[in-house]
Amino acid sequence: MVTIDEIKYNADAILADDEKMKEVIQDPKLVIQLLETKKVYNLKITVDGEDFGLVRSIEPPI
Amino acid sequence: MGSDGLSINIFNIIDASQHPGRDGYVEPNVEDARNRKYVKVFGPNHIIMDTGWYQPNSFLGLHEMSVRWYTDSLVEYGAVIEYWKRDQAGNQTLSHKIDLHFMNDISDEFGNKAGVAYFHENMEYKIIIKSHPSVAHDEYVAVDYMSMLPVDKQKVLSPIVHAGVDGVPAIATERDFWISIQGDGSNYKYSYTYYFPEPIVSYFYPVATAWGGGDYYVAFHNWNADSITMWGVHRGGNNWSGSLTVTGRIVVYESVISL
Repeated sequence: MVTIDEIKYNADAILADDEKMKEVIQDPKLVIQLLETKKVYNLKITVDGEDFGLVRSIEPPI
Repeated sequence: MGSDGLSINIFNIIDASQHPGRDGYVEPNVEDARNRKYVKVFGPNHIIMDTGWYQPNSFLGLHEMSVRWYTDSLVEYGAVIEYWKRDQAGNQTLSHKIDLHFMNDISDEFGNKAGVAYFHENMEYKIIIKSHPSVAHDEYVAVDYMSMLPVDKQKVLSPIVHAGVDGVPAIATERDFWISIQGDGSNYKYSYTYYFPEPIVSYFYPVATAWGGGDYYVAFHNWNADSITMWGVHRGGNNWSGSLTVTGRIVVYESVISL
């Protein structure tokens, strides 16, 4: 089972692992952590040959 | 009871300390209160402020009403405002009542809204503020002042647009919304319902943008009297996961209280 900490310290390995990514995409919290770790707001990935979108919210300006 | 009329309302401020209710006492030396005084009560259902009857036509037309007040109660509604009217035959009625929700740094700083109210000609009005029935006996509610901001009559419309009820007075207001639509990887679009923060009689179509690097868009798909529902859609039709920011704005026609 993929954890938040695993994503924080090993994001690239998880991104390269189809089985783990199948799990990540079902949980928005894990997706958001992955994007935060990669310091991006939007990512296109392929899982099992299918294109997939990952996205996280932006903060309102103060 | 007599009226103070224009002399006191020339700046559209009604000080509670000038009109303490029968249950309230004027507390002096309150540092951030207007005139360094406010009127305080402890417990539920106590009259904090009572303006007495204003002469006919002291206020005319549409006003945005707000109350600056304080409480240590954590109940959802801490105060109640009552608008009373009396016609020329002497018949008096409770015209409208609003429960006030206390908001830190808003209610006690700028005041919070107590309706957009239309005052009619040839009517006497009085305004009463009470502690809410749900306030506990050892909790206080205090009122500093009430303000009445006249609103441009030109903005009062009988809406003829989408879902409107002909002849219902309403005021055009712009609302911004900033929301997140959640996706769990199972679909290419997910739904979110935005509820209007104030009761409205009608609205114009909204505009909205999805913040997703150009890969997403917003599609509105349901309209109700109190809400609109939208989808966050992946432009390429791919399934997506995470949280998608959507910002938008909508012109709504808010209800006006006819006093």
